[in-house]
Amino acid sequence: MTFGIFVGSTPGLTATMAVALIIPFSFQLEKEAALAMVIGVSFTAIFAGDIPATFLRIPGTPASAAATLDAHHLALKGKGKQTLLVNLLCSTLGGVLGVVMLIVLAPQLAAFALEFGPFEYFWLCITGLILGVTVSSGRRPFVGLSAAGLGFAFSLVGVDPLTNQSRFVFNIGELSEGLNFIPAMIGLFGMSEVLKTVVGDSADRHKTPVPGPFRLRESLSIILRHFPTVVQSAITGTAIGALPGAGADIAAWGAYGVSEKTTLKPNPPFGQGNWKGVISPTGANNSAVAAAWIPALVFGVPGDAVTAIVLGAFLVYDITPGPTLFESGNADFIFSIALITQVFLIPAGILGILFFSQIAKLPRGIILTAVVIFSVVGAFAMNNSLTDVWVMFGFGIFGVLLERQRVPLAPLILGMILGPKIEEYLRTGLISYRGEFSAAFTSHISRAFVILLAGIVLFPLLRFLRKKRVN
Amino acid sequence: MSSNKASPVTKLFNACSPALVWLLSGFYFLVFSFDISVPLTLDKFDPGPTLLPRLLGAGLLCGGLVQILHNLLVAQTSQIHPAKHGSARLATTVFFFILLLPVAGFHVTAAMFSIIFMFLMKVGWLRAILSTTIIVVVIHLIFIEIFMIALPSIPF
Repeated sequence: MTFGIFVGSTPGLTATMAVALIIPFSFQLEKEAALAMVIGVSFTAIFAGDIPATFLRIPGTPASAAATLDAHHLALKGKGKQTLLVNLLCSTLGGVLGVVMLIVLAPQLAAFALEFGPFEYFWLCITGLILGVTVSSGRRPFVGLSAAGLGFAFSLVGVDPLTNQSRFVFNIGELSEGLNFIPAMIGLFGMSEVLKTVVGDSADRHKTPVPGPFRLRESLSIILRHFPTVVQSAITGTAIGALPGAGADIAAWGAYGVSEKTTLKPNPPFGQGNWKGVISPTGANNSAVAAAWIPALVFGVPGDAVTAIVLGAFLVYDITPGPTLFESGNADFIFSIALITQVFLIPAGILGILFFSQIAKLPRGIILTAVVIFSVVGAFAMNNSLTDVWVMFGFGIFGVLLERQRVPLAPLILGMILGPKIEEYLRTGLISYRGEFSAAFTSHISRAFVILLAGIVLFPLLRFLRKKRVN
Repeated sequence: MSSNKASPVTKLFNACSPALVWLLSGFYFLVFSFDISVPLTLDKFDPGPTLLPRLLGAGLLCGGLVQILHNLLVAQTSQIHPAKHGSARLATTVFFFILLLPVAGFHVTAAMFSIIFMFLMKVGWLRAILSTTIIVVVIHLIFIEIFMIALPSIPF
């Protein structure tokens, strides 16, 4: 678990990478110990991604991008450690709820997840994208939408996965694999923040994140006050995480969006240090990690990249996913490890927070230099590729230019993450339904998403018009 | 400069400059989408690899045009201020850091960059050298020793 904290909090090293790196070591252990190690790493790495997101505004993992909005604001107000404590406890609660739902609802949820065809996934991704845009763009949803479109367009660079045709590659071999969104994310959030802070473009240039005390009582009262948000986020995270391919990053943005839309008068507004903005993504991403095990255990269909890797390792541990897993008792063992992991997440997480808060006390010049070097190394480490480092640098400069024009960066990265999935599901759906786009509206699930999407777009518009009429 | 007193040319420039990102990227994706070759074996129901680049390119162009119109009508322009010296200097330092990585290897380049960057950030020499040593050693231990990631090394 300490390894998970360590990898998750290092920008550029994702939870997927943490699990991939630990699996070779796990082969030398007993089956039970190996499983405990792998499951422990997957849960802790997702939480740990929020630590640099809070202190440095650099998400440690893609699932932590939503956490940069409010958590970093609170860290600048001297509540760094408290924010991370609330984050850690909600992450644990979300994880426990996710595991409980995994135990109780696994077969039912898995059956529901299997009803999703390409068009249902297409609508899910579109809803996630629009929700993310409306939430992170504030009063400029149109600009946010343009940023998401640009991110989507960037994601199309490379070889088309369905036809193998090169797009926007211009005979540059390195570009054929496309623009990886992780170096882009490190550049947009990390490098651009360094450049902005140094030259004074950032409104917070004189502020540095302050760890402050843990304030345990106050933190517990915040969690109690927002307990419905924790439950709501865990449910959202479980529902999204159970869908194969959806993952913790979409779950985090989805829960953040649901929370923002269901809060009538947020004070302070979302994105400016609202506690619900801290609680909802962290509760959701950890419960999504648990829920990703639902299709993996029941049908052997991985819910995300992490479970895909672990399913491969299961074969070495001599565990066969599927209905027989429940008869052999292996499922109970996995459930109990997942629950125990949540309990141990608290001490492991506190260690991580204490370590990082010591680093946050260093002079700004040293922290910013370290951020640049870690950004460069983190971008390189993904694929051992210098092209990724240049992509990170390019996006860093681009991020500064965009933020000068008050363009929100989160929709851009969301567009890069969801773009390839949207394209793939749309085209696969059209091929499956013989070119009939009307088939995208025939199932109940698709219709529910379309109605939800209409609500997300129309509700703020109606609220704006009503306000105008009253004024 | 108030936008009311600005000349029409300045007004137009101020309205257009924030939309340049969308216009240029829209133009780029739209124009170069015509260079994408469509395979002969393409499934007849697959819209192909060109559909979304064209849609997005056109969408970004429209977005840019709408923003120009909005800026002209509402006269709320967000002017782009020229880049300050500091930003250019720091960006250049990072640029050379990346450029020299494959030539001089990670350890040498990172140490040089770290000391220069900290000097620009007004960190004292002794602190800069000490911090640089710690950063390089920590990264060496994490990435090279533990994760066995082959960071660029001196090629000779």
